Amino acid sequence: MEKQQTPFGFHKLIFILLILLSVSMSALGRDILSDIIELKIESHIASGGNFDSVTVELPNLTGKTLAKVIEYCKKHEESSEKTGELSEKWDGEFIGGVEVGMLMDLFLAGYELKIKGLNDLAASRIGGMMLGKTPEEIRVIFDIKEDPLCKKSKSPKEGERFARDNPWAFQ
Amino acid sequence: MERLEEGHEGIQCLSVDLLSNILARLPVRLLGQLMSVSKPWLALISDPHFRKLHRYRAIKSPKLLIVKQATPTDRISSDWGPLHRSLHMYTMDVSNKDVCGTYYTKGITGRHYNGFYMFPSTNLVCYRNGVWEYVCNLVTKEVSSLPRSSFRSRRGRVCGYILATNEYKIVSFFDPDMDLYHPKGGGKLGCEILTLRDGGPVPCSWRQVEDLPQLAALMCRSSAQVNGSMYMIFYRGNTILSFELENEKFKNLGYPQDGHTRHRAGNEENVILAELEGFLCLGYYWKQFSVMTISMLADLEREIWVKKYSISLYEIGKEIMILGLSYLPLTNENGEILIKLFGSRAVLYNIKDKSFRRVGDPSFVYDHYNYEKFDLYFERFFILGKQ
Repeated sequence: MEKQQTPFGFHKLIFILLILLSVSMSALGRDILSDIIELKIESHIASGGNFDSVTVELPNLTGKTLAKVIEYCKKHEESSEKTGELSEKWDGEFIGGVEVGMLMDLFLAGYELKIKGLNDLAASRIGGMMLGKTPEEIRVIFDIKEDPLCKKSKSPKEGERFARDNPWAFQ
Repeated sequence: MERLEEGHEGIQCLSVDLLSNILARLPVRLLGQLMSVSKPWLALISDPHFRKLHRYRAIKSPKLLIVKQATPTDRISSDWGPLHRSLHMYTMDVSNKDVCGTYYTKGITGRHYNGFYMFPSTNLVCYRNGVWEYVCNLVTKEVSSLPRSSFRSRRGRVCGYILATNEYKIVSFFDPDMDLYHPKGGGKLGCEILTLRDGGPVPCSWRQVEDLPQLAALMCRSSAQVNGSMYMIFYRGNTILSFELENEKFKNLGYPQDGHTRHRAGNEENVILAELEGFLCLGYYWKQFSVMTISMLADLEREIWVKKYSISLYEIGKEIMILGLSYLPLTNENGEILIKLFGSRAVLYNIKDKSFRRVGDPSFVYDHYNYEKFDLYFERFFILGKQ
């Protein structure tokens, strides 16, 4: 019984996808979503699943983040059509005005949606925020709650061993 | 200070792959400090795979390194030269053209100026401090003493890097026949090697190499590393000597077959070796025309050289001596050639625009006691360790 349902399920899925794509592609201006959906279906089939139970998980994006992603994609499509070169200045301004939380979201969105430029841009910016900061400051900025590894921590032996094994890090 | 607000995914939720994508962009020294942020970060930064990723990323973004030797004027004693010197090392980002701040300063005591080696594209600097010799890893700022060589005659040193194993090999040439009775030596070459492994320790003795081809040559004058081999030219040498870093085999390679270079390469000071865009190149400076021609070794097996660039150096000056060339990629199609000149000067030549720009401090006055040297710098994850 289930096997007979497969074509129907498949068509239904494609239909939904088409609607989704037509909506999102017009907004995004490029077929990022189609790529990601294709990839997910392929991996689903490869892992032995049937078409009936395909659930396409779209990345968990807030409206605000998606708006930013769309802004990035539109700008880059425009500039690549016009001059063939992407403006680094625009990128810098785009990513420079973003706060930490949104930056993390953009980094993840770039990764999930396979927009390499955005992913790289956000990663560079996050890296840039770490430059010249102490580990303690970084723990505050990025809200890292795991145990720190320092001499004052709960296990001083571990901290000492770490300092002994990596003398170059303390020079 | 900015901080992460509620409701967003924090950096600690990232998978290892995503976190390495961010951290692999950071300088090694900072990563050393970041190891104490948390245990997962320590585990990631200590991971050999992460370090490999970091090294491969570093190859793509060379920076310009400037090492300046300065001597305070009150320290100069007229007869013997300066006793106290300091080395200031800066790095410069080539893309945004800004000089980064002082990177590292090291005070040195001693009268020897000539014990200073800056190995091209390695981040390693060797210097003498008193009677001992030291190697300094500019990436981690580690300093370690080098073992003493049993041979006193110096015929030059080169240093190569093996990416696959993350090793440096310092190759030191000497004259085995030079002794008290033959102060000028016999004009032959011997060679010994020191292998520096990631994480140390620095070996306590040099290893002598037996099967060096018979080469009647003087000082090693210019060297370049291309892929896994070092190439060297010597004063009075008739061929280019190549040295495979991994299996330590020496070979001879002919000079380009155009008449001028072939006949004069061994004696002229105007010939240099360089690695440009992944190929071995030989630059020849025509003093009378102020032009440098660069030939490229297109086929190593059949020793086919092709003419690659011709650079007019007229606007740089007539009385110049070229010490070395390095290639800095800007984009896929364009790049700049760093032309290192004698007398604390260097210029960057843009291949596409055929334009020059000077690098370094324009107010710097070069003399016997103060000089600047230029090179390429890679943020390479290599821990020197101690002897």
